[in-house]
Amino acid sequence: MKNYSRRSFVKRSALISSSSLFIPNFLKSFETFNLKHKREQKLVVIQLSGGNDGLNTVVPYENDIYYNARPTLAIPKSKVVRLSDTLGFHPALDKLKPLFDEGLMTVINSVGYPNPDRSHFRSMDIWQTGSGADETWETGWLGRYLDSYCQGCQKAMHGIEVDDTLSLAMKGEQIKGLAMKSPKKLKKILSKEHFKRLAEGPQEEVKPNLHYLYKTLAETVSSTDYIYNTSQVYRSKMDYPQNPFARQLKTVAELIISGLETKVYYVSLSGFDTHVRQPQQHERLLQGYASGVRSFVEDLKQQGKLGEVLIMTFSEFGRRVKQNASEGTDHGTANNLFLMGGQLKQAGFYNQDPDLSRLDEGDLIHEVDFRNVYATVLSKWLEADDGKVLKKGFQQMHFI
Amino acid sequence: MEIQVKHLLNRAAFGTSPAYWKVQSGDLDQWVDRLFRDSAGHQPLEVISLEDLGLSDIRTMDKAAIKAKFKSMREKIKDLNLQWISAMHTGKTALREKMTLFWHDHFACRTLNPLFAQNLNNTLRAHALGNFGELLHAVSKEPAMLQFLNNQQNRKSSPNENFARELMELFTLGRGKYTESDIKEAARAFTGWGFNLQARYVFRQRVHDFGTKTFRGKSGKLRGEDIIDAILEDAQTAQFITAKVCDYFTGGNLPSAETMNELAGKFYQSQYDISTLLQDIFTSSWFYDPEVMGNKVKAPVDLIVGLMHQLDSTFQQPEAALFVQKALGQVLFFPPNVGGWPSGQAWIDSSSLTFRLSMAPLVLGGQENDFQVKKDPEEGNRNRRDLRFALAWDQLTARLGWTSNDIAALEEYLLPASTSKDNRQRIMKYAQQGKDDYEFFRHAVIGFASLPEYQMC
Repeated sequence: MKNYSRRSFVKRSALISSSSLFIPNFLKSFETFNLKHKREQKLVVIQLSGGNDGLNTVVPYENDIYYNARPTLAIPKSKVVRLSDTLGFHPALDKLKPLFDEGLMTVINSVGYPNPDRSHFRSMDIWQTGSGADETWETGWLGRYLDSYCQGCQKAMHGIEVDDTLSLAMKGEQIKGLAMKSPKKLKKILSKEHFKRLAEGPQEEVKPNLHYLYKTLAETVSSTDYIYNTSQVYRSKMDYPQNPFARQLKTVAELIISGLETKVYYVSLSGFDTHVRQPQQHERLLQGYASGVRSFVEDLKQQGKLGEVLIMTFSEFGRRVKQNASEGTDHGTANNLFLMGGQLKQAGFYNQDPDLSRLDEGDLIHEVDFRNVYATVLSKWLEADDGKVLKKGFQQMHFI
Repeated sequence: MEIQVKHLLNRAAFGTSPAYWKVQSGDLDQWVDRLFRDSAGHQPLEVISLEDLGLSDIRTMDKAAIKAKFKSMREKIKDLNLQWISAMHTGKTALREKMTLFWHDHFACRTLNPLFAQNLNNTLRAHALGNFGELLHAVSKEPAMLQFLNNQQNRKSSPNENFARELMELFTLGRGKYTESDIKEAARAFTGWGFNLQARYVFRQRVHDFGTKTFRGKSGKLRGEDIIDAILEDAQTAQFITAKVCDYFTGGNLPSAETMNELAGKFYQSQYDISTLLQDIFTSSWFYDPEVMGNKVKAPVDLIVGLMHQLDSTFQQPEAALFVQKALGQVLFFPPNVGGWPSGQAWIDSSSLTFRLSMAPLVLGGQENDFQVKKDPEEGNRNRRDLRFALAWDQLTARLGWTSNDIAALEEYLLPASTSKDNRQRIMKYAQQGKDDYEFFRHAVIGFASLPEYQMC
């Protein structure tokens, strides 16, 4: 077995990352890196946790089946924010209407996967790993993208999740994204003498797995330094709503506008498991979502960065067409998925309305596999080998 | 304490403890014997009975009552978690608990029914060091398993292959060691295996397929039990289990293929006696090779329980143990999927590592926690500011026979192998800031427990 000395630690780390660690000309290495990766596209994934009720989000306001299935939960036709002759937003999403009208938003209806699983944790794993319902994978789709993108570059900082813990979606085989509530919070923790000293690497020969811990810490510290320093470039003056979700988006905006190299950002908004008393809860959540996203898009637009950003919003499943007896809805299957950004090829509604006349045990039948969306984002937006990342080829779509 | 003994305790138990620390004598074989002897008996988890569960009248309950019932069921699963943590950290039957943890990952199962969860866990514990064949037969009839792998829906008219597939792929033979036809035929044999509201296995004759099946060369009116026996007859099952057990105890540093074959052969000959396999591992010289020792990343539960065990302490707020499991990515009774938890380096990412290395001052000092975990749609888990242990430093130092300023002894006690001079000096400096001997000790413990070295075992 090989033990690693401190010297070989530094050497090895230098081999693994194109930039060596803890060095003053740290930023310089990114310039060389840039030459190979000129394109600036960034992906922002917004996860609505708990299973968002897609039918009350984008409402089929001309559909009798919808109104019959939801006698007290259906959004009255008069209140719907109309987008097409048949579909419109929940009134709490009115802040998204201008984005939709300006061609900055694509709605894909009936997105799901075969043999849908109605358990939160299973379905979320399927969406986060990009597996089929009959497979269990241990890595996330964005993590595997980072694996393929990041060979030979500074690691964790190419995928950032704005939270204290890292989602499976962001964990690859080799590379895992970086989780942080804000650059300031992480910087504060890692600036402690304790971490600074440990990040210098083990001082003596250590076993391979211990070496891995030291290396991960060194990368975390140097990524955090880079992120924190770069994030000082732009302080948003945009008026974001006062809620944690909007604060996360504001952090992402500041990082993007500051010119951070990060390719993928991940944020979540939870509370969508509306089994009881859905109306108030759902309205509050959608309101928070729409106002946060609106400010985010405006911010990017004003700073001329919207063309570099694609925002994808998904939830692990939609909800049952028929409402339940507690003023709520139960776990369902296929759902709508939102894409926003300045470079959409097919804005507006991408496909036909969800078919409420043809259900499977009371649930919508998916028409678009979410992995077709992933494959398209990976290949056309992130310029990655989608077949490799998803371990299988999926047909490309045309929204970008 | 000899480094080999410490290694044995780290892997086969939950690390050093004041009680073990006092036993300075004894060679390795005696220590192995001691571990088995200590684990001869077993204490089942007991948080809920069938009467407590009270689901038999669920059909007549109103919405509010059902909601309250589900809430109390979730609470009971938390109680199970905490009771198990407690059983592990007191360490009376450490090896048995360690193996129960192994089987909990091997037969990974999620259920919202606390009685099902409790029963499965107790079955794992009862057979943890016993016979694998008996364990497999018993687990296959546990309502938790039948429910999780959809065997309740496995009927003659529409077979559900989920259980049959995982039985072969994950529990016994391993991927690629069976055919699709094996799965189809086995699924037929398991039709009618179900459970009732009394949390008991039932064989529902009406939906069982009594026809002839052909499974791995054997034809006849095979029942589920016959399938399990046929799988056990296949030495591949011994190979697969041996490899997985070795992987668990060596942290992925497997011995040679030849050694593995020998181990598996003996395991098979012993008719799947788990203790035989474990004894063979713990008394092999390769188990104590330098590349094996100290090269395993502690699983979150091992880390938390190990700290409790070493310091002979518990959280002031017991639920803090749940928060820490969540923060580090391993919550007992909630494996990510039927494949169990990915282990080793998979435990480590920038965030989990930062939390691991920041935890000691939260637990052993007065610092407040402001690290937050993700909300679980069904759990409504709470973030916790107070993660403090209830510690009686004077008692602990007395039990360890610790004399003031002996930082080397503490390092030996806490770490699998010594750390660098540089780290030691920093810890010494921090310890010396302590006002008295106890604070010196506390600072030193915080210092060592905050090292990457402490994450290893």
